[in-house]
Amino acid sequence: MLFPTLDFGVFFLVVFAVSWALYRQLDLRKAFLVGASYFFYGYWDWRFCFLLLGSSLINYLAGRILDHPRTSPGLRRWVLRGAIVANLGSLGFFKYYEFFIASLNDLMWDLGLERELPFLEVILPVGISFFTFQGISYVVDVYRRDIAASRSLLDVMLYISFFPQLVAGPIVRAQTLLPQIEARPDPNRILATYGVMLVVLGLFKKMIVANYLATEMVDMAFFDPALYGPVDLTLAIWGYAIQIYCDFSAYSDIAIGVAALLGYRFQKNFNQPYRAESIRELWRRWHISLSTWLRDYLYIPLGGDRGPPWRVRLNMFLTMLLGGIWHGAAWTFVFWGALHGAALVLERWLGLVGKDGTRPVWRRAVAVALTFNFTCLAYIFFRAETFEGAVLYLVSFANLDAPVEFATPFLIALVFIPFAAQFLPEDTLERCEARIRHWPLAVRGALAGFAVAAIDAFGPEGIAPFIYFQF
Amino acid sequence: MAQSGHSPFRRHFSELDLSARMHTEPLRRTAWLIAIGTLVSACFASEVFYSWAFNLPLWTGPVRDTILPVAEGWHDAMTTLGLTEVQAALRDLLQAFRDW
Repeated sequence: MLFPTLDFGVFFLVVFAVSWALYRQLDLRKAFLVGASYFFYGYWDWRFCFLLLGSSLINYLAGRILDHPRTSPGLRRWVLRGAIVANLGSLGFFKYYEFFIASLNDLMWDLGLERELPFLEVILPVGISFFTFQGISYVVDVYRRDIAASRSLLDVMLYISFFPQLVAGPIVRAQTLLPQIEARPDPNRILATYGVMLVVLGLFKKMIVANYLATEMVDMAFFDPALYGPVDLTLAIWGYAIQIYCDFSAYSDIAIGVAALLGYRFQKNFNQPYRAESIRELWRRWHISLSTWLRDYLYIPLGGDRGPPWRVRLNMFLTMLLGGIWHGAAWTFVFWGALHGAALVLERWLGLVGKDGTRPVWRRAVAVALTFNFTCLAYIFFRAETFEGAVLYLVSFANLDAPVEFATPFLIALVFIPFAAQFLPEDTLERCEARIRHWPLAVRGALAGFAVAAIDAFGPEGIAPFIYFQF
Repeated sequence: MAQSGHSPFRRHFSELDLSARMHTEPLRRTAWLIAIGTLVSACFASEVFYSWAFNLPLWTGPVRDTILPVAEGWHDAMTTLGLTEVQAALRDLLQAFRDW
């Protein structure tokens, strides 16, 4: 079920009404929300609900054993390893099996060992990367004694499957969501205006900006880059940067907004990433829930900032490389992760980190431009279907004779207005909410309803799936 | 990549915590807000509602049979009132900008 559809609108209205009607019977409310979340997930393919259930059961049991006072330290370590292997095993099978077999086949072919390995067509369950990471963070946090294991299977099931963030994040930590699940929601403290604003903003970003950029520019440029020249290819990759930001942050906005209307609070997942003056700052602003996850569950266990400089740089590089692989089972994602890892290492080596926001304006502008364009360069590998496609895109910048097609006022506005919005004050949305909340309720409601109707009118026919669904 | 440290997550996210500064509303007012928004969007985008009802899968049987005439009647009423023209006007406006 996609967020910007009437199916989801009707689903949400039912869930909103029933869940708040049940707020006094907490267990019943949780059971209803679990059922609704499984319905939401099963809308794609009901068979994957068993995967969700299995993930919840494994993480619940692991948490209970880890938290039991009589569990020995040795057993705790084994249970933690077992839970992580189970989580990563399902992720590895569904997401990386085909990639692994295809790569191995290629390698054997190159070595002259022409034997076809068994190839299975494995369907990737939507959102598996997200709920797997939530499951891992839960058991690791229990192991580290950062949180107590939940005694309720229902709570863990809801934590793993809660529909707003289930399929494309944000990756909500157990220490954020579980206490909210355990407590009775307060019907007098709903983030109503903010929640509705986020939903409307998310719909606008996805249905108008991301969809038009994809269909009228980016998809065409990446389908056959040889047809275009440097101006179009530059516009298209800038457009892709805006498209993926608007697409992914729209999902997070709607997820945060929907959760807020149901009485749950998530943190921001994006914070104007393209105003970053360094790659390090970019990762503090982009997909914050993933970058903090990678930091806490990968970078720090690898050694983090401890150890000699070469070791710290290696830790950074490996973290970004694995972050690249997390995005998808293809060499293009591996290369994209390696580029970001190399950039982080280089920034640190050159001593460029830690100066964000303290330089003169012109140097900050140069730093923003360099960071953004490096991000765009890396996006060529992220977006291209194959490595050869990415190289062809780069080579096509030499097509100086190609006519300019994408430089229309509409497409330029779609690229540059969202980019300019990155430089608004960080609390712009909060300021807007502070003004709007004083308006009469009927005016706010009517405005939101009209905005949704207008977005529907402006948006192209049909809704493309969110980019991050495939991850 | 952010720096290491014990439980940096909480410190980092406390800076971004949405809830502390936000204005909250009681359930009754939230429900009204959503109801008014739904009603207004159903007025201006009645065609979407009708086409959704029309495309409901056949297995929904009685539900579809109930909703479809309501959606059709609603869309006819909104068309009579001229509210559906607003979406058409907005589409034309955007098309003019795209063709510019």
